[in-house]
Amino acid sequence: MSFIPISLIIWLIEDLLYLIIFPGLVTILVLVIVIIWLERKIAAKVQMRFGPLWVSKKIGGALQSLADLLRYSFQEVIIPEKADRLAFILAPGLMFAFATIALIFIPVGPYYSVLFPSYYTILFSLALIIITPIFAITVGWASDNKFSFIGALREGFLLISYEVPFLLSVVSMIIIFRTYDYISAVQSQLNFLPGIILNPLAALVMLIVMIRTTGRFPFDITEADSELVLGLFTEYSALFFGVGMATPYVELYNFSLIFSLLFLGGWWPLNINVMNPVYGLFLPGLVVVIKAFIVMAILVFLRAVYPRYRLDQAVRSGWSYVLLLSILSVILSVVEVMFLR
Amino acid sequence: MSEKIFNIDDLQNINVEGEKYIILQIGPSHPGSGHMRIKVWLDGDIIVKVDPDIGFVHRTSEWLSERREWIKAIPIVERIMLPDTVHANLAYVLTVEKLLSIEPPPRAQYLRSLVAEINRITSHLYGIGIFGIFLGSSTVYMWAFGDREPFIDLMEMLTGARITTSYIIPGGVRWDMPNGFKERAETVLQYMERRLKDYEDIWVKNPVVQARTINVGVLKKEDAISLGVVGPNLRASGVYYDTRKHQPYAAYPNLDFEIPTMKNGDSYDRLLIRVEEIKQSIRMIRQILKDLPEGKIVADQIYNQLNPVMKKNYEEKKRVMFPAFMIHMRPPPGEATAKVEAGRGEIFFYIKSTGDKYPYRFRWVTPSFRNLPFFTHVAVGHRLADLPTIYGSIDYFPPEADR
Amino acid sequence: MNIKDELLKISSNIVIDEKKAYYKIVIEESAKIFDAANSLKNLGFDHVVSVTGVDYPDKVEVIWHVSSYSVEDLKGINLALTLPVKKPESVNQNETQGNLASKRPPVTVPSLVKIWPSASFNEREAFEMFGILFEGHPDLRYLMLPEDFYETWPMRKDFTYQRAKVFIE
Repeated sequence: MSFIPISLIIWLIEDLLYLIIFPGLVTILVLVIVIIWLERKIAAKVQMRFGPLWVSKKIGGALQSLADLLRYSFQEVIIPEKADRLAFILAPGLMFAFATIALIFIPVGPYYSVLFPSYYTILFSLALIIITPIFAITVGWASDNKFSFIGALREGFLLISYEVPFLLSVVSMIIIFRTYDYISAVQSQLNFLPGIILNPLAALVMLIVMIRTTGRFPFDITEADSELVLGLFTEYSALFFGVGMATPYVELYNFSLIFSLLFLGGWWPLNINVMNPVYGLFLPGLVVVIKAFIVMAILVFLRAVYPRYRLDQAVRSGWSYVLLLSILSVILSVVEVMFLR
Repeated sequence: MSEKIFNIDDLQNINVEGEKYIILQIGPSHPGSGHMRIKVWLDGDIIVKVDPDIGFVHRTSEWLSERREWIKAIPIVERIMLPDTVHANLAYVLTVEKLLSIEPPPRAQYLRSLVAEINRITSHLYGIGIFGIFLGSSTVYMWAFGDREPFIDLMEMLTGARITTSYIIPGGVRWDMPNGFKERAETVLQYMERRLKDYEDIWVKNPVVQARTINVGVLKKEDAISLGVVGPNLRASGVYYDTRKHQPYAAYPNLDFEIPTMKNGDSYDRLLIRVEEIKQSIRMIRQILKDLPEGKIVADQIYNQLNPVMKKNYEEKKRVMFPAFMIHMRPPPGEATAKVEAGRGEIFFYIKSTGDKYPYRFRWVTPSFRNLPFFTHVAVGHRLADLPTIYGSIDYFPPEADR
Repeated sequence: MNIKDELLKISSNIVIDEKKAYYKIVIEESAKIFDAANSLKNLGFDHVVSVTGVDYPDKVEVIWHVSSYSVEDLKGINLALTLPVKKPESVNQNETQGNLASKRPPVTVPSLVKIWPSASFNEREAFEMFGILFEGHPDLRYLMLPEDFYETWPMRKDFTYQRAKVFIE
């Protein structure tokens, strides 16, 4: 036992707790359940009706999503005869897995690190986030249905159109903060100004890409209810369907965390100089998660306002307006770095 | 976008053989299809040919009416045109009155126009709601269906039933206006005018709605005339025609109203024109409530045939129990036609009587049946996502097209 | 314009009843229907409201109701363009045997779709309900009835479920 240092064991246990409880799986579960309920309640408030009410009447139906999750767990699993079985079963799970794994590399506090501290957390998290939509296309291909197929094609078109602006906006923030690490980026914002004031164009582009990638209105094109029956997940039932419906919210959480770390100042106004789990991770993490939750609530509210765009309008605007904005944001950040040395 | 194809010969000769075209059956159980199947041939994302396959809710109303007594056709006809029951009722009764040569009294004419205009508002709200959900906005859908409720409550106050009222009978109407109706109606109309401002803010001026509907589904004036489309779709393409002005019935010769027409004929115009027509209907209802004349609500020929118990009922409660003698009504031999402007377009009736207790030929054409060429002629050349836009903007109701 | 004079130029057999809003013009032969329809279109009747049939024991009357959207005088007129066609002799006179279709063959009439495109869906419905074959219609197939109603012509007066052998649960 003497050559296995105690600090190694403590380190492993700590990482496991971070992965499972905060800011890991339990946090994701709670946040997804709350945001689904909040979306339905906000839409219902605008539309002159109640929304979810009966499941847990005293708290306004907040456990409705949990009840839906239970219902999905007990439904019958139906797999079409001519579907590609391996892809049909694995693809939704892989989608959810890759969306969740990206959280490993997003630090919510200066003391946070899983397995090893790194100076390249921005690049790692982006790489993992961008892989997820490929499995969405697999989902559309695997079920032997023309509507899912058309949904997968639409997802492919939109994925390609909005990837370049996204990367360019993150690149422009990297240029301003001069680091590939989230923690140093937040430190620069605490010393100077939040990212949204330094480069508002990049913030705008990031917001638009967030709405597109997670399928919020007005970019609800892949699961267009009135043209394709349910888009990609038409043939799915039971827990595959539940996981497929929950994945966009996990992606939304990822993007909101990145947005609040790069643009909203991270754990501002807490200025951390003590490095231990409580002051270094828990408190700043709470602030970051609350900021991310507010961004998620605002994006989810758009369901009540906008209908959906048409595919060619969205693709065209991705290659023209949004790309132009992102190139301008890069130029803006280069100009700022040169003159505000 | 490929250029418009209009000539009917060209449309039938499009070659859709081969593997280049995807056949998509937007079938009966689909959120965006209603009770019909739309068979679409797609070349990538462009629609090449559309074949509407109707008949899923064909309820053989003509066959049934030719084997039932004359008065029993009223519920049959009402339940087929569901958002617009009063106009179907009115069209049938107008035809029968022409065969019987009965003229209803003025108070009954005004009451008929009153329920017709209230029904026009609910029908247009229904159309706006369905258009909203086809484009993806559930807000307008919930608002439109919620805003129908005050008007349906008004109908219940006046006629006793919410939707299938069977209010209009040959010779007049069945119930008189109760006390307190005028104040209640004024409250409802003011509520609707406030809500129309909300609709304009969130729906008509919405940039996504404008991007999806402007220049989509354009139908020019000459095409609209030769394809024979009806209703607000016709007026949105620039044709000045409304049955209430050109073949007047009920109290419309005495009312002062305008008929809006638009210029472009695209889906945005079809949306705007329904909002304008709701405003005109509100204006007409106010005039009717102000100018309502006194008098009986049934014609003298009908009143003289009521027995003393029914006459006492009429004097006390101002209601006509549906007279049993109408079961054996036999109009004299002859043929008659009538046209009525419903919310979606014009209803046409042609009835032939040989003096028997059943009609000999009962023929009616509903507005949605005459709007079918929109699918085959207008949707060609657009993208797949434009099909729900066009479908929602023409306010097509499958049960009334199938009759 | 005087409607009565204009219509009398096209055919001598007309019925006008203003109180019942009933205007009817009867063309006796199917060969003349195309020219009559053309002259009506030049007068200003530019769309078809309904195409239907009326079934008598010895003939079927095909009626096109036409009206006008563009000419002011004609906007209030529903004109019934009527064409009585004799039913052909049925092949099998035996009432209780044989296919029902052979006893009730369809009648043939020229189609007016080339003049008025709005007649397209209406003529399909008249075909399946009455058994009126429109020659020259580009796409004459069943519109609303399913396949087991082929050649049963439901709206004729001698139609019953038992004789048509249609399966009803």
